[in-house]
Amino acid sequence: MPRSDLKSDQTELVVLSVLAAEPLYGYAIGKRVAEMSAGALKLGPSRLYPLLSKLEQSKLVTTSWEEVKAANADAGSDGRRRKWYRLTAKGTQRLAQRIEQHRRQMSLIERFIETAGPDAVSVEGAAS
Amino acid sequence: MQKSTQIVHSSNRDPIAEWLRVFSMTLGLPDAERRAIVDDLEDHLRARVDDLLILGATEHDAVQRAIAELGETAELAGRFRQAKHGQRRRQLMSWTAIGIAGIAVAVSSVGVFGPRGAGQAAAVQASAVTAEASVEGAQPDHYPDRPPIVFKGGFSVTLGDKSFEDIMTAAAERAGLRSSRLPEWPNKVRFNRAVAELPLAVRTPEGRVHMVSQTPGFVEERRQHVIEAGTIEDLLGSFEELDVGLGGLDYRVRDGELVLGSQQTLAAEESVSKAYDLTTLSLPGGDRMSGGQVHNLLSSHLSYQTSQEPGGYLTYTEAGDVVFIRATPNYHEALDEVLEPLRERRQAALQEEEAKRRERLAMLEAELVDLRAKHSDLRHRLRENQMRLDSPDAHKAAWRAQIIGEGELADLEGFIAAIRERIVDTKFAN
Repeated sequence: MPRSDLKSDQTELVVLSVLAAEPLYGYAIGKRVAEMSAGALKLGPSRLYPLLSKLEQSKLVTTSWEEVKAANADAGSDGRRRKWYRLTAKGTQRLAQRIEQHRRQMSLIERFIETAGPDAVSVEGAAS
Repeated sequence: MQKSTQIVHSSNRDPIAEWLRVFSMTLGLPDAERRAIVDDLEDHLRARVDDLLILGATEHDAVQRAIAELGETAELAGRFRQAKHGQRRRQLMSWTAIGIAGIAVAVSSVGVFGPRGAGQAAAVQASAVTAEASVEGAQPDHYPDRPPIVFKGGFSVTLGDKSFEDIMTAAAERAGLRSSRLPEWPNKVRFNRAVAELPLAVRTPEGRVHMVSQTPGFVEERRQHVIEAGTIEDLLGSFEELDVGLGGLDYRVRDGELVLGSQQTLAAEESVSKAYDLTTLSLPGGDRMSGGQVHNLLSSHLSYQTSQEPGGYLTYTEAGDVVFIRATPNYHEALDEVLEPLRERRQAALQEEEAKRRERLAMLEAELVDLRAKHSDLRHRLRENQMRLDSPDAHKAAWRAQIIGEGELADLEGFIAAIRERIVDTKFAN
């Protein structure tokens, strides 16, 4: 399946949607996006983490830390810190706005597709 | 959301730690924020490596791939700065909007950097207002002499062949400041990469900083490169390849002058030494704190939150009952906040001790009065008895009573002496 690149507002929508379902840590968010899109959507760490940072700054998500340990780590070792992200009420509102915005755009584009008529559907196949 | 400790598989390899160390230096953010970002990325990298190992990659390849997926280090750091600074800029803009009424500086609409010289700064198409003059209620983030500087309408400059000094002089002028004092440049090249590999490298001819391209293909790009900034922090953050050493590039406003330098250098300049009297501090049990305990307190409680903030600079010297700490005023303030309850506890312990001492003293003095009365009474009775002994018909019992009474009198005198000694000790107890 070909991969799609998301625009920044779409990326925000996707991440907020994923977090609306449950709190997740960064790596799990990336994996969840890939799983839900069957690998079609690529949300790399270089985009994901700065976005999460921005969402946190904007108070759209709240965060907490968890200590995780390697299975082979010494009993006394500290392990590493894992940051969990959870949607705030403000984030839920933003998600609703993004969904509404997205639906309006889709609706507009749909009008053009309908105007183009049924023959236009085969254009992609003809081109390839 | 407190989670329990989970057991995960981790590669725990040095290349990741090394990459994170280098990346951390490029971030140019306050250390608390930097630590949070680095920890988040470390978790990502190690989790990713573990997944790749499961998929059959060698450990070396897994680490390399996980790191490569993060992309170019400077670009990633820039994205984080943008995420953080973008928000700050909006905050600063809103503060400015509140406070600048009537003070806004006129904005020139068109301007291009001219040839290097005294007049070029005026040609920069931007205007700036200093927070100290125009932002009501703005909160300096860490230091009193680091006010937010907001370029109203933005600061835009085409890089061309202008030097860092040219740009900062213009920025200072637009911020209503006299000039900029440049930092000592260690002329370091980051990432252990060769100069030729950097799109923009730094050299220091005669102490003057220039940004020059070492790669012919990038010369044009450099000439056309436009720096746009809303705040002084944005502007400093634009110089991706500049490295002033510890803590990254930072600024202060001192006596109307824009001062630039590494975070640590600037903080060291404004660090002050303060003596902390250990005898005024007390632990929960009421015991006095030792120097080691104060040091532990610094390490565990303050070092992460405060000394790690931009410019964190700390020296610690213990001398008897006094600990000398050299740190930023901000650090001292935070330390005082931590120590205050310990001081209050010590004060309360001292007051309680004093009350007990006074109570003990009063009891001893009452006991002394009682003993003296008994002593006086006994001595009087012994004198009377002595007269009876002098008569020819004195009985044997009277002699015996006299001997016992004299013994008791000697005992009472001993008790009185002991009580007086205890009173003296109690009166002069610390």
